[in-house]
Amino acid sequence: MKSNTTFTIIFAVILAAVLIGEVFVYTMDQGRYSSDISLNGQDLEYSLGSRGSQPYSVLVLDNGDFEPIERYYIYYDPDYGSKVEKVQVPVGARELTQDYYISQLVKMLNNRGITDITIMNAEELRDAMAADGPDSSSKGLIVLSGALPYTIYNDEEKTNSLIFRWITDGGSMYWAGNLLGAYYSTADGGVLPVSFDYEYGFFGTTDCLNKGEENSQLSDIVSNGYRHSLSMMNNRVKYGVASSVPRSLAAGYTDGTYVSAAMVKLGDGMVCALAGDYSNNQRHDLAQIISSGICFSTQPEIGGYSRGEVKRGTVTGTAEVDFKPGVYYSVYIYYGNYFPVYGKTWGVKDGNIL
Amino acid sequence: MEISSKIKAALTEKDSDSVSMPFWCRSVIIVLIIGMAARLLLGVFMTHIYDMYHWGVVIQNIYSGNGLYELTGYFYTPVWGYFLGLEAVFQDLMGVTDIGGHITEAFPMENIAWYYISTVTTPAFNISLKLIFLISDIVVGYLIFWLIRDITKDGRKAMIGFALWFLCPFVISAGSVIGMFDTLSVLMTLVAVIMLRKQRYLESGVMLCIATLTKFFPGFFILIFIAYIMAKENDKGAATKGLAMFLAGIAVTGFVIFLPQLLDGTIADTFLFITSRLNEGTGFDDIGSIGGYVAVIINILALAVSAVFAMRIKRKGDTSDRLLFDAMLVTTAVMFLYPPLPQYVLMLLPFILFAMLYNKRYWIPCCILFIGTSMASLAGGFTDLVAIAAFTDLMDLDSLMGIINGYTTPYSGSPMMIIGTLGSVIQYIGILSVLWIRYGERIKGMLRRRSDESVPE
Repeated sequence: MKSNTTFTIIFAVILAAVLIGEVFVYTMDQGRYSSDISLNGQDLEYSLGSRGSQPYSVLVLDNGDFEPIERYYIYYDPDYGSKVEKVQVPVGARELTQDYYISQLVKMLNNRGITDITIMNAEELRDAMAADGPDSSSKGLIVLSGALPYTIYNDEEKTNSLIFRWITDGGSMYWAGNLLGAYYSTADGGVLPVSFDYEYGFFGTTDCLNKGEENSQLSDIVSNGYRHSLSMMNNRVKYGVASSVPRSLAAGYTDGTYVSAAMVKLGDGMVCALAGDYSNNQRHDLAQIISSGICFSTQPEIGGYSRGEVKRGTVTGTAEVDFKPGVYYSVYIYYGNYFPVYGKTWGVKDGNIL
Repeated sequence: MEISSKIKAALTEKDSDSVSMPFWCRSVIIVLIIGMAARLLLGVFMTHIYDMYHWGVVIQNIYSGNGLYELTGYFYTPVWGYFLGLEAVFQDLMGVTDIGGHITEAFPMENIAWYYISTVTTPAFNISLKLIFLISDIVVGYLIFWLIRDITKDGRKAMIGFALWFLCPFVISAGSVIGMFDTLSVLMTLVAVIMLRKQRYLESGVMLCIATLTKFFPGFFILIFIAYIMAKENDKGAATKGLAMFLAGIAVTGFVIFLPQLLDGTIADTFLFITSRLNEGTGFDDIGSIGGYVAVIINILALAVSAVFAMRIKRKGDTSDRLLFDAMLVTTAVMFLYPPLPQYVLMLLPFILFAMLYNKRYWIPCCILFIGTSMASLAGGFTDLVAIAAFTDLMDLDSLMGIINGYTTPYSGSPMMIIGTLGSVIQYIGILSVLWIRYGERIKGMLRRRSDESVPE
């Protein structure tokens, strides 16, 4: 019967659609993207490749004397207490717990070419930070627990705690999930508020963190263009740092007082605080900030910026950059804009790619 | 030329089981044009941001080489994700690059409810994705046409059935506005039914499995299908073979679909949409806050109803279309005693249309659902215009946000909530009316008999 042919065709098309889609989903990998840079005097030449169609961004950031970070620690210890709010997730989604957040962040950083990441418990973190000694530059610590562990931060040692020494010696701490420094956690799962002026300790000024509720009346930070060039999405200012904090760079969104992301100088190092409770948008911004190498000393004016599309081939281009001697530059290339799929970072200094 | 004439001949289907009224006739073409125009117009201008954003995230995760479940964003069983994989290929070829952006002017919308977000997908992304639903709607319409014509031998009735599906407002809005993929599950279910009637049990099992792993509703028909096979095949050996082919189709298909998740250890994530509802309740709307446990009870009831119909099919050896579609209609209606989202009702509509062949009174729930489900699906109203306003000059975004503010505040008494709630209530009445038409006379008879018995002599 002729109808059998028709339905055989429909059956085959549906089955083929499912199977082809399945093969495509699970054979797709990062190998379909590529990028490379070279220096030609004051020009940065880039070459971008993709087997698909993607928008791209090329950013050159003038970071002054801030060294690029090469290794990341992520603090996670289920035995120690944490202080993060439970957040609503879509039906069918996994609960956004600290360990799930971390696992997602690691994958997102891997997609951006950052692979030297070690997850450490409280004791391991203390040992690693102590071993870094007087030069912890080129090290980054990511803390998502809402409370620093007793091993590196406590009410006895206060601003003599290991975390302060490590940051002032050049380390960088990236923070999200609660008021930075307000709490420390103990091995029995406890969380305790600190009794000293932690805001002054971390930011050099008192009463600079947003302890109130969320404010939905936000606007872009326009003093620099990073909200757009880094495709930032975390429109939250709860727990955020005040824009008036000295020796800092704010990026993303603001309610006029507090900002969604701030990078603040502390000694030779940096504290970076992202506002808001856990969210996918926050994690996206955290990944973008870490990957781009943006820091407190990044010039508001982007050193070089190029945007376009690469469609099943290669795109080459040049960004004119006023490379200054002795200055660290971060070159960040990423594909996908607000839905990033690939990224890569290079450090540049004195005509050399680091 | 030869191939296209063969396809045309197959589609016109001059075979002995059906009258020779071709599908490709003037009336159908007019309905197609109107339906496609409505879908394209709505699809360009109106988009439910929340769901479309998540399709963008899934495609992003696919592009980054993380599959469906390694990175958060996909909360269903794999089949729709595989279609999104195919969509990603299509977008690559078409050069659709930008998925969307984070729109500052849309931030106030996030105060409405948790499912309003300000990451908005581009019109190009939206329309490219909605083409899947357009194609599926056309094929479903054709299957409805074919089935009605095959049952009734009446081309006019088949045409009306096709039109009622293809021009149904909530079928149009489910794909073109909400951006949900229930039409695909309906498509696969109807193919499974047709293969079942044609005694092609392997293909029927394959399609029912894929349909169930798209949206789980068709899974409730499995007992009906099994009973049908056993009743259809007079010979015990043939029945066993048929059943084995059907179950093999399900098993092999399920294995192939879940194979990547079995290998990468994310198999538990594929069922989170069920387990998370059990743990926390639906939370989708006020009616849904009754809790996941009520949903479980109703699902068990639906399974029990399908089992009763399966026993009837097997016991009576009745493999008539009337009983088969009656079983699927009632099972679906019972499933939706737990108030469904508007797009779920797509699964019910074809069976209402088939039921109308035997009882014209089913036009009543058909009309009620046309009104109620359409209202519920379009209640988002002006909020569905944000994408076109954000990325084109066709509409001013700031002005639109002002209108949205008026349309959505205060939340409880807002026009949006009133329309949505009213639509949901009318929709639910429509679902109840299906069961009332089916069982109302019997219930009235029972009550009358009880009343007569209680009257003293």
